[in-house]
Amino acid sequence: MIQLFHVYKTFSGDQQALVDITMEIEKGEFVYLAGASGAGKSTLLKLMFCALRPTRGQLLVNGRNVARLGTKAIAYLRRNIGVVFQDFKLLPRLTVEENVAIAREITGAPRRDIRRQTYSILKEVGLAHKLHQLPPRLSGGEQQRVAIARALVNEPQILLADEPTGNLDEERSAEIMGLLEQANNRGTTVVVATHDRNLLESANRRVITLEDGRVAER
Amino acid sequence: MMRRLFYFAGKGFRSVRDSPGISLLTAGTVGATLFVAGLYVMALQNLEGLALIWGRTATLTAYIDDAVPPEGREPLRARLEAFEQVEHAVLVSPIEALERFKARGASAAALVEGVSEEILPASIELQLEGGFADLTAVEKLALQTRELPGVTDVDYGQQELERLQTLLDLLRMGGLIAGILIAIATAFIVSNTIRLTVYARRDEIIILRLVGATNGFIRTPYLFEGLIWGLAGGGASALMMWLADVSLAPQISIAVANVVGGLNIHLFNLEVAGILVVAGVFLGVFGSGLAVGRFIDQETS
Repeated sequence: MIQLFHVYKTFSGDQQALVDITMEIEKGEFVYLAGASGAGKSTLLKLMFCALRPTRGQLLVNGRNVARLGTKAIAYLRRNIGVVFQDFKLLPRLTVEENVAIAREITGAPRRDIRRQTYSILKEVGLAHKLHQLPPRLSGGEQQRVAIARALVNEPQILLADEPTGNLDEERSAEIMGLLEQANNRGTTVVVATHDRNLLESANRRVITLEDGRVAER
Repeated sequence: MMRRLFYFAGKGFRSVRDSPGISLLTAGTVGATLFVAGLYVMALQNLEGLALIWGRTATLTAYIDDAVPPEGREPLRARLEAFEQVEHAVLVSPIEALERFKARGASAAALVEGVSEEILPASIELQLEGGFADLTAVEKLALQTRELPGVTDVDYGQQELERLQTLLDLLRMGGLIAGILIAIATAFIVSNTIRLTVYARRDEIIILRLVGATNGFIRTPYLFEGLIWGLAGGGASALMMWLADVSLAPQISIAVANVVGGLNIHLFNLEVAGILVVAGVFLGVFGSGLAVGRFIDQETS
């Protein structure tokens, strides 16, 4: 599903964020990217959803070499990749329903279908009763559930999460990880970047550890 | 297709409604700059009107040969009046010419004291249709008149007329250059104002890109928003022009009446108002597209 061959990412000033990364994530897998802050986890996720391009090497997502994709093709590829961030990235002036619906609207789906699918996914994450609330009025855990609903509403093949529990307490973190597990059980490939040791120890999943931009352990 | 169009239009309207301050600022900038441009155009039109009135007061004078007997002057006048460009022709006898000369003042009168009453030649003064706005036509008429038997010379204030023509050309050229400069300045101001509004919504654009929106999907609602701002700004400038026409133009006309009689100052006409609205829409859509395009390019690079 995701293949990297000798991928390098260098930022301006010769700062090497990723060095010679080669890895493969299978379809339907649940993988953790572990490592300290600055190890390169977020950069690797950004490469996977095409927010950055590799400086060197090949990155294939769903069999497509992302370095060769144009702007429009990247947009269409992203509709198959749900992304969840630590800071939720919700629009504060839009309601919960509108924040989730935005991911369906871009596909040009009929309004009735959008409303039905948005309601259905919000029900799944336990927020059907907060459709018309604005994000700033929700708790951190609820906001993250809205972000997950938005990431999943298009039924993507891949779900990427960058420190999804970083701002949450243990109980809320467990809820969020439960939602990611559910998505994985339905066949979605899930990649979670985290430096939370408790999370890594409690989950019986493959862990890829990064250290100074290199793969240290698989 | 129509559903998509309605969706984008709806988003554009909603953005305008949700950001009244920014929308007012942008439409206000479009309106104010177009109002200044509109005033310039109207000022130019009024100046051209002024030049036309000055041109109408000018006359072409054909001097009659002394050999032509007094009874031969009237047929010559009638012949000249028959020319297409001539509105009417007036015969001025040597005695009338002398009287006019004397009327110039005491020194002029003293100069011709005791001379023969027929010292000055008889002449025919021609008033032209449409005045002297077209110098080439006047020159052609002067040539035709000079070639008539019985006419010795023609005077139409060539130098003054050429100066008037130069002034008109300068005004037109100045108007064109000023128009281009104002258009560039307006586009620049509007584009920068719209950039501010786009920047204020950068989070929305970033999230849209994140969930897989194409550049066209991101850009189109902003184009509708620009269209609304442009319509409002262009309409407001046309309204301000109309208000200026109603409240200021009559007073300006009265103020200049002593200098140029018959000149009615106008600060509004439907043609200019239409151009202002179309220019507003163009500026709004173009400025908006440019601003959001630049932002998308920055985010992509």
